[in-house]
Amino acid sequence: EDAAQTKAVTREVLERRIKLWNEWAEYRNRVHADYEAAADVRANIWGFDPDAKQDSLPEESLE
Amino acid sequence: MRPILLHGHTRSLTKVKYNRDGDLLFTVSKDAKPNVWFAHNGERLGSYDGHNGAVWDLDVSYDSKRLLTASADNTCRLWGVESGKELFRWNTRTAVRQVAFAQGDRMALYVTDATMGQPSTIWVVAIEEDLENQSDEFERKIIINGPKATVASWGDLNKTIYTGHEDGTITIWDAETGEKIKSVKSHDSVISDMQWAPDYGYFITASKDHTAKIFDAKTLRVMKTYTTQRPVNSAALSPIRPHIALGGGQEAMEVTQIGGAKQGKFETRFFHLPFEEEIGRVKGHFGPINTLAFAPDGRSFASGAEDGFVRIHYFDDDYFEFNYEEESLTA
Repeated sequence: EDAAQTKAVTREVLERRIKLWNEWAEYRNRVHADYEAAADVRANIWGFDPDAKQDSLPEESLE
Repeated sequence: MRPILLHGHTRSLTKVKYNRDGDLLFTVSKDAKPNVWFAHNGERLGSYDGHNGAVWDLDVSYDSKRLLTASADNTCRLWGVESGKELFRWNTRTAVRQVAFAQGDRMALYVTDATMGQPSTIWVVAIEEDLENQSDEFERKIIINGPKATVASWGDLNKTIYTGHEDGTITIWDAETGEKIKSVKSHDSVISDMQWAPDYGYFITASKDHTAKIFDAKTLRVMKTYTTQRPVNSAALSPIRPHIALGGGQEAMEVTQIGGAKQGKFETRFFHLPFEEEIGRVKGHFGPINTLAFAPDGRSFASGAEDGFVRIHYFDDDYFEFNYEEESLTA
């Protein structure tokens, strides 16, 4: 009985996580699309593309 | 995860912040002396001498050439990062609590405290490239009628200003007109930190009500809530993983000598962002954690605490390999 209950809870948790993950992914995509849609306005404010890839740090700094 | 310990402050930390490149870490504290450190080894490059009171906040320009500091000595100051020289000073009537460059670094805001009959006020100032043209005149002044602002920052494209207040309210202001656009009370106590997602779609708040929350920037709808057993002083969003970090603990005056760190729970706590589940803790500080920041590359984080120390932690490889099974099962 205990094992069955654990299995049920695990399944419940799993389903909840999948639901939360999908909802968040959808939200993030929507938000990011809004951000990208304003790329020209942002570039105008900065005078350049502020989202250009960051300069990478020297290898030794990541050790 | 071996930490790098930065010991250069003599009083409690109030803010830690990386520059955009992530090679420099700026720190301010109640000891009145902002510091800048190499993030990769914790070596101190220098300090900025001049403030006569606690420094509450800082911001660094996109090109890492200029630093803004907000202080209880009734000044907001602009510094040359490399020279360490004070470039300009705004004198105020009350303590300056918050400071932030606008996108583009051509404007900034600072927030003054509500004390001595003065209301809490947001001041928007122009930042001139040529310092000879720099003026102490303000472009806009937004008086906050109500609970004082404890945190403030610009919204996307400089159209709005967001403030968090001592009663737990969050307000959006029109940056052009100073008009209040929206206000919600979603925390039950002081909002102690507010940090943005890189694309400005949402932000996270930390509160003394023992929670941190993620808000949608447009609607101020609460998207996620993270509950702890202690006041949350700082909350940060990982730039590369679906994780958040929370720092806090008891107020220093409530922690007895005996019991110390164990009693106060002075740990950085990590939560999975969408699942709202705790995934790990990092110990080390001997006092409440006041401020947290992820490095821009997401490979490390810095914490500043009441104990006067700054700690930089580089994540081990297994941190980047860890995933919930559900993350791969879904879209």
